[in-house]
Amino acid sequence: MDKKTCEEIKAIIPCYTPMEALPEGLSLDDCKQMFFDICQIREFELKVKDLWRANKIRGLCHAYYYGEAIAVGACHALAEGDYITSTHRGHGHALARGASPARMFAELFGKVEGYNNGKGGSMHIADVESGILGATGIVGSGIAPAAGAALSAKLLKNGRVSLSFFGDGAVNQGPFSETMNMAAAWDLPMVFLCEYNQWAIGTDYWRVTKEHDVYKRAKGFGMPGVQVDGFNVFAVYQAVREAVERARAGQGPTLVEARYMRMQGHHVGDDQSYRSPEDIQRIQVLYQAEPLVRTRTFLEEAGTPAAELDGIQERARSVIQAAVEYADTQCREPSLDTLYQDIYADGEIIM
Amino acid sequence: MSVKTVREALNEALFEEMARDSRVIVMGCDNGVKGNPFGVTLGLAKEFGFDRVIDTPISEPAFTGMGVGAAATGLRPVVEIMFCDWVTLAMDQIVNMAAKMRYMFGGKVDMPLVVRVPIGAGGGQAAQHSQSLEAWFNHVPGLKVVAPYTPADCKGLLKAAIRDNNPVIFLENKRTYAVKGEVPDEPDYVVEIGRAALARQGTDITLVTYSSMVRTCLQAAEKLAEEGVSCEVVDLRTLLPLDYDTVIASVARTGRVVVVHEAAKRGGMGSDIVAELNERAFDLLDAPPLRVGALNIPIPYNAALEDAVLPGVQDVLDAVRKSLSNE
Amino acid sequence: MPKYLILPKIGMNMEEAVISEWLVQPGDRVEKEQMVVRAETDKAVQDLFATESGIVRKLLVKPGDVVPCQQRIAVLTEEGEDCDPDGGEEPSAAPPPTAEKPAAAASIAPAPAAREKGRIRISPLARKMARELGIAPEALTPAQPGKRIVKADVLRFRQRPAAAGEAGVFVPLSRRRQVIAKRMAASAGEKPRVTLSATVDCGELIGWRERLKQERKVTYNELLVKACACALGRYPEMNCVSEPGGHRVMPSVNIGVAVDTPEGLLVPVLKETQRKGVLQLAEEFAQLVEKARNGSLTLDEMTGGTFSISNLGMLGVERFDPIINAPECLILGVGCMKEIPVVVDHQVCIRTCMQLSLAFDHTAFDGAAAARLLAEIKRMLECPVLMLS
Repeated sequence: MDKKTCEEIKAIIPCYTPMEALPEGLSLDDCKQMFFDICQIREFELKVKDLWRANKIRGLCHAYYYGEAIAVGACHALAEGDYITSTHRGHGHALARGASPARMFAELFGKVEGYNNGKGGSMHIADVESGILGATGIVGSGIAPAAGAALSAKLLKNGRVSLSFFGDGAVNQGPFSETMNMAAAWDLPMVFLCEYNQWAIGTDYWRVTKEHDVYKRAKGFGMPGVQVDGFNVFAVYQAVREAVERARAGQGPTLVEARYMRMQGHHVGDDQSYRSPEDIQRIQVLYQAEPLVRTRTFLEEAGTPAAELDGIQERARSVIQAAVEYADTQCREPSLDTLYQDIYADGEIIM
Repeated sequence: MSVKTVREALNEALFEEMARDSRVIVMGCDNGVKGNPFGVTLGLAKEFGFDRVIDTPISEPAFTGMGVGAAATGLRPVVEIMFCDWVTLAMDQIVNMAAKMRYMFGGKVDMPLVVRVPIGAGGGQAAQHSQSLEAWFNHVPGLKVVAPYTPADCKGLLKAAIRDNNPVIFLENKRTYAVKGEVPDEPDYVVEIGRAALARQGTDITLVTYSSMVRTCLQAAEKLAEEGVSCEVVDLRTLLPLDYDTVIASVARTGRVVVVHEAAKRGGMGSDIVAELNERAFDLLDAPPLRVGALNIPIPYNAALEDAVLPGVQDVLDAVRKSLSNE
Repeated sequence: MPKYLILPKIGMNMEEAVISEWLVQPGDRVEKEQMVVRAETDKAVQDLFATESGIVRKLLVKPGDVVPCQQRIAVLTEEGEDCDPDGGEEPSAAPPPTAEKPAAAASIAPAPAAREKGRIRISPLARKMARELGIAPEALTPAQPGKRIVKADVLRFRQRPAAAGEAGVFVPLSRRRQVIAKRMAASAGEKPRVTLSATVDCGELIGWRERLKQERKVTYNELLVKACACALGRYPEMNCVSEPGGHRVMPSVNIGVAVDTPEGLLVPVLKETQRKGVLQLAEEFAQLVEKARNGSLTLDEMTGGTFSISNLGMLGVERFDPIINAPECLILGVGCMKEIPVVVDHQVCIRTCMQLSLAFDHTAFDGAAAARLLAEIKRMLECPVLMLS
């Protein structure tokens, strides 16, 4: 990458860091797995966009493309049994944590086989068995429950860590600050992971805050805060791994700010008419910094044959294609009998 | 008169009131640059500047509270909660501050605050983007609650809400933004808060409704007319204070009443209205008053399930036939 | 061994009751004397007590059932004891004597109206319209059997005589009317009755009432009650009720006064009238009338009478022939006050008078005795000061 491009990228993502070497603890095979995960999320979301436009998927769909490095880097740093809470832009979190794309598409198609039996849809995918405590459609509403999961891990002494994904929009919700305080005060085993994409639908984060660096808020609550390049899967992995190690060691929470950029609309039907042509033009350079391209480049430079990488991408495509076909042709519509099911526990029905 | 959509009528009301009174400000997520997700505040920032059309961060409790404080000190804020579901976040400020400040401060404070709250389900937005929580506000003394349907009423009542010195919760149904109708052009056109309207005259049964369900009831009335049943449709327009004079006058003509709303049936406006009719109009009733509302279920994502939860024309027809059956 | 709750007889004339509502449910423990069931008796809606203690296992009667006194109404057991679910249906060892005519009301009223559990299903609007038009709800029928009676049915009823009048309109007997009919027919059939008449000069009585009204609202009914109580005080052997094979002379003069209510005739009883002053009687009677009109008279307030007064004077009736309220033996029918020409000291003058008709049971006493009683009543009314004597 030439210096000018690098400067242009840094002007937008000040903490941009090149992917130069494998971080400690990762093998090349791990990196290939990360690449597959990134490709899988990318393919998933491109498919979602098509299917939403074809009216096969209802409601609001917020795509995770170009954010893959954060979900994949963070989830690779977590252990089995650890918890995550997700957001309205949550497909990537679930996939990176190991959720089945087939069951996710089943959910998006509103089918019984979906993770939420067709009742949740895009904004609420929850694979609780994989430690995914669900996605919620209300900005910031997953942060405090993640701390609750950390509290239960602490009291139950099961060694688990809880990681909350949230956006830069959420840090101005009261519960963010309230939860930061309690998690720090009680040394909860938790990671606050801010996916800083700079846009809250049509509102530029910089227009509604004075201090643009979110990680600095950590200091006021008495916990470490770090800022990383959110397009760099290694950088995210490293920061989250350190945070997870601290948490698991009983040393309390960490705030990780992963800077990236929302490259496309808020949801798959959003034309971003509120963004100026200059702004759109300005961010085009980031397509050279986005995680799929960069991770592939890293692997190529590390000696992986292009054909192998093409094969990984092809495999991701076919997994997603098969998932869509499964959801479309092999899954069932829920029956109306299920309407009142699961409002209350233990099979109880209260009309 | 000119034909406008609800969206345009609301937008026009905001334009006119902001032009009329420099103390009127608009604030909420995406209200400025984007013009809100539904286009209701489109163009306001360009006309009146970002000082008066404020893009807020996602901080509902704080910006609603700021609306309260600004209203108490000389501004007339119109605060938007993007989806009714999230008004929960701002509930403390609405319930404990906006609604009570005047009373607990001995009548010393005006609270000319409007909180615009888009309600309504449909389209698969699932459990956290679909609710209609108006009954909660109805329970809080100190608030006024408005839920118009026609573009003309939307415009006239939003203007009246902005001019009112009390906190007004202004409910817009997301599914009705594209509804078209004649809207008066006069800049001083307002619709008085607290007055219901007859959306259709009839003699056999009264359908009491508001917001999106006015359309549903009119469609049902049309079908019933083919069967020789004459429905009167009362569009409440304002839920608090509720125009019981108009409702009871209609029930006096028909002897039968069905209250229809999109919100969940249990504990909904219908429960309150039916209870009030039992107390005030028992001797006018020729049949038990009935309620039609959504099933008491979080709104599910799947299309068939969502349809089954929400009330529709068929539910209104069923209720009317039940009332007329004298069973 | 299972035990049974039976329907207790709680009034002298009570033969049966219509069950309105159970106050206990299977599984509940009941103690003897605890109120367990609400029922409409021939007098009023009453809560009836448990005749045994135990745990309720099965209810044998349901709301709307007409149940003779002494019939089993529920099965009880003790804690831990099994209940034969059919135990209640087995004929009891000694069938109650009144059980030979069960469900009397059910056969009388095949319920063309929308009846459900002994009440009429009628909308509030239709009920109000019927009341305003003077139509008994019992006369109304729904357009289709089993439906609620609504406004349209009232309007149809009103137009019906013009449209199809030749068939007439069948009005079934209400529960209240059934009771009245049974009692009147029994009295008229069983009691050989003679009616004596007299005219009373009311001049002094009117003056007394005017004076008393300065103390509280007093009606002629209370003055009539007091006069009768005083007269019976002179002839205590006539203060009696009939029993099989004789009659029982009662120590207290308890006087029933007929009251017209929206639901029909009721006769609340003023107790121990011989001991009470007119003002106290007026106060008690006002309360009884209020209760009669809103349907809250207790059985006790409608039973135990030894004498009845039926006053139709306010409706302009001059004289009538009342039927004795069995088991009482005497009833006084009171006509209206009216100015009439009378001869006093060989001169015709105008006096305000009323006519009294005393009907008596000839099995209990003869005409001369009744005539003396009537003369005494007349004397008291014409010279009220004698009531103090």
